[in-house]
Amino acid sequence: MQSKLTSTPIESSDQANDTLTQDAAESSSLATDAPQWLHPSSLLFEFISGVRQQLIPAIFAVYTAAQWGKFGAFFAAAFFAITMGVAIFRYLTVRYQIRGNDLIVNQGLVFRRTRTIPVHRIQNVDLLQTVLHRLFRVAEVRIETAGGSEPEAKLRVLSLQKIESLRSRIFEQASLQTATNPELILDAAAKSTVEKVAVDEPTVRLLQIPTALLIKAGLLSNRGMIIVGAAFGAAMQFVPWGQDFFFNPKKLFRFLPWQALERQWIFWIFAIVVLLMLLRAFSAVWYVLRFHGYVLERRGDEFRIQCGLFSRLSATVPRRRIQLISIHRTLLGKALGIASIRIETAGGGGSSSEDSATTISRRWFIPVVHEADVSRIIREIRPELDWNEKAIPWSAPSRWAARRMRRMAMLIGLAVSGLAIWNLAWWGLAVGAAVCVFAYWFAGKKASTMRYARSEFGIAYRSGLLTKKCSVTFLEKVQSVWLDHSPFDRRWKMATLCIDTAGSGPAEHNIHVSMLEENFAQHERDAIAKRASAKSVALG
Amino acid sequence: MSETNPCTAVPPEQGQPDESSEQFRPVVAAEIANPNDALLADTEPPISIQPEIKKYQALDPRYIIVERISWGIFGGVILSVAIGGSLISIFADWPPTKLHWLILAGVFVVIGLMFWAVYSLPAAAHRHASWRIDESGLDIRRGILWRREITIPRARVQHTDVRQGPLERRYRIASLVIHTAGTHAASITLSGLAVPDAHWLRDVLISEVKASGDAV
Repeated sequence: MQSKLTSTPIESSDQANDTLTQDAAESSSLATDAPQWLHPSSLLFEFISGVRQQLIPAIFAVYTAAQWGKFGAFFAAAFFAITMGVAIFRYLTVRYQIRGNDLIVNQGLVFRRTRTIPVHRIQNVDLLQTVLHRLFRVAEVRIETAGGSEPEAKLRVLSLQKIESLRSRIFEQASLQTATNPELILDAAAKSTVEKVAVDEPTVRLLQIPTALLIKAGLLSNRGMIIVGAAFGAAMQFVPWGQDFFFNPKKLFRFLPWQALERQWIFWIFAIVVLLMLLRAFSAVWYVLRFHGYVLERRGDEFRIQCGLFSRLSATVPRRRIQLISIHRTLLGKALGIASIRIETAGGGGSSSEDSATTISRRWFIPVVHEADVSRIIREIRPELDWNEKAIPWSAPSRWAARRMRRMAMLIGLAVSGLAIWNLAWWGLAVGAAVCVFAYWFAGKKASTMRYARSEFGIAYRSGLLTKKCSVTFLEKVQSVWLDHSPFDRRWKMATLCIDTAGSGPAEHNIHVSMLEENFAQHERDAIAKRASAKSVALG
Repeated sequence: MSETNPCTAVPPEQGQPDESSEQFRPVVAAEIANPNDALLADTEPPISIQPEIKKYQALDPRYIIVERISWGIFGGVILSVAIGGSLISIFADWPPTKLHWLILAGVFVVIGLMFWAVYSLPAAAHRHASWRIDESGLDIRRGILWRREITIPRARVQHTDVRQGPLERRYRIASLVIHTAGTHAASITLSGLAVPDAHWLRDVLISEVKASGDAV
């Protein structure tokens, strides 16, 4: 195995990489590697993943082994043997190589699958490293292209050295090819970034997040619900008194004088405060677990994120693949001067859940950042973009928007009041009045947060009251534009302007600008469509 | 064939002579009489769009018939289940009570509504749907109450399908499915095109795909 590795030209060290890049630049990137094996510890990780994928049979196997004696042990052994066999088969049959401009992954023996991924189509290369991975100095590699929601290729697992060489090969080839093949340059933005090919670029450290800031961000968020939910599920399943804990705490905390406490509202307030504090503490724990040691670096044209306390993640995002930038500010975060930045890239991250490790590079591009650093970071993502939200010439929605939203809110408020009066009589009247006043105020406020702007390079959209979200996308990233007119829209002479980009979703802020004045929306749609289809986009 | 005569320059549809839809076809440039020519020439965008087609075009009227038939079949299946169910419920506990007659009356109301919907909604949909193409892209309008105007920039088309179901084949219309790299509108279907229009549109849109590279 090792001899096989050393025979390939790209081995490990950084110097080897540098010479390689120069070679590649000279010989116009047609180097072919011998097919590579996965790391031998793949056996273990394939096995673990196999067991995890079939968790229920696995639990059943262990359970039967414990209960049924000999027969159970035989059953469990058979299950684990099959899983191990699959893992061994995988390990023996998977090969990957870079041939010319393609990454080729071979798999299977009887039914062979050869997947060829053109290197310039690769969007992200993400690494995932759990504690166990770190022991073996290996990582799981996920390679994503624009299509689909699943990674195009999963290499489980490669040694860190081989990953480094693979990663630099992929991104250098992509840049080289784009630079040498003008047909592949679609837009001026790509051209401008590609010209600075990442061959000898130094690595620039853009951002580090100290743990104190992570804890602060965690205390402000409700992420802890995830841990609480998981704990709830686990307790219900496995802990004998778990169900009591959530449904019948009296049984568990017998030492408390419940009879006296139930009548004291101070006790309940205290209990709620404790619960909320626990929730926030869990959030902080989640943030630290996920993002400990967060580092954002830029090397030439690619961003690299590294973070995680136990499971470490290292994601690479090519700059020109970023479709949308979204800045989120919660109410409390705004008061403390912190924000978070999400991005969207084509491919991946669409269907996977919020906290899955692979979506970190998009959903949590920068989990928390000081307000002062926001415009600097955005300038790194798009150098031509001088980000200053206050200076953007925002256009407001239709002047009837506030009135329409208030009317809608009043209808809801009246319905709630009706129900309240039905149930509570005179008290209901007071509740209903309060709800109506609040709804009226809230709708007006909400209408005042909706803003839209277009410049020569992109489109910006701002909305949200509790979590203020401000997103910007770029004309060359616009995939399609549409206007929606509901019957109510037509009544108010309004329309909703929607802009679709690739990989939209992780930022949780779709550019669907509602309640624009109809004529204005029409005009904007035409302008965006015209500029989106132009071959070269003027850069501001 | 270099001269452009707006009346005769319609690309002949091979194998399917079709006189009835002559007046609904778009007027196109003569150079694309053979779509293969358009694909082979890769210098200039070979397809020139006549100014007439830059205005919104209605869908083929046969779309109404196809829609009525397909919704009619769908409605018929549902109706037969509903009628069968209510008849069974009536005969099961004979003699019928007031409730049974109410159910039967309800079924008749639903039948009436369904006939109305199947008859008039396709026509309304046809009235409100139209498309046009120009240098910037393909525009599609549709929707009766909730209306949508979609624009697909030409450089963003990834690939296109021309799709024909059995009914559509029978009435010589087709649906054009346009795929973009987007998320919410990753594939956009424009149904109710005359077959030559669908092929023509596909060729126009694909010629742009060839010219540009990676649209993401």
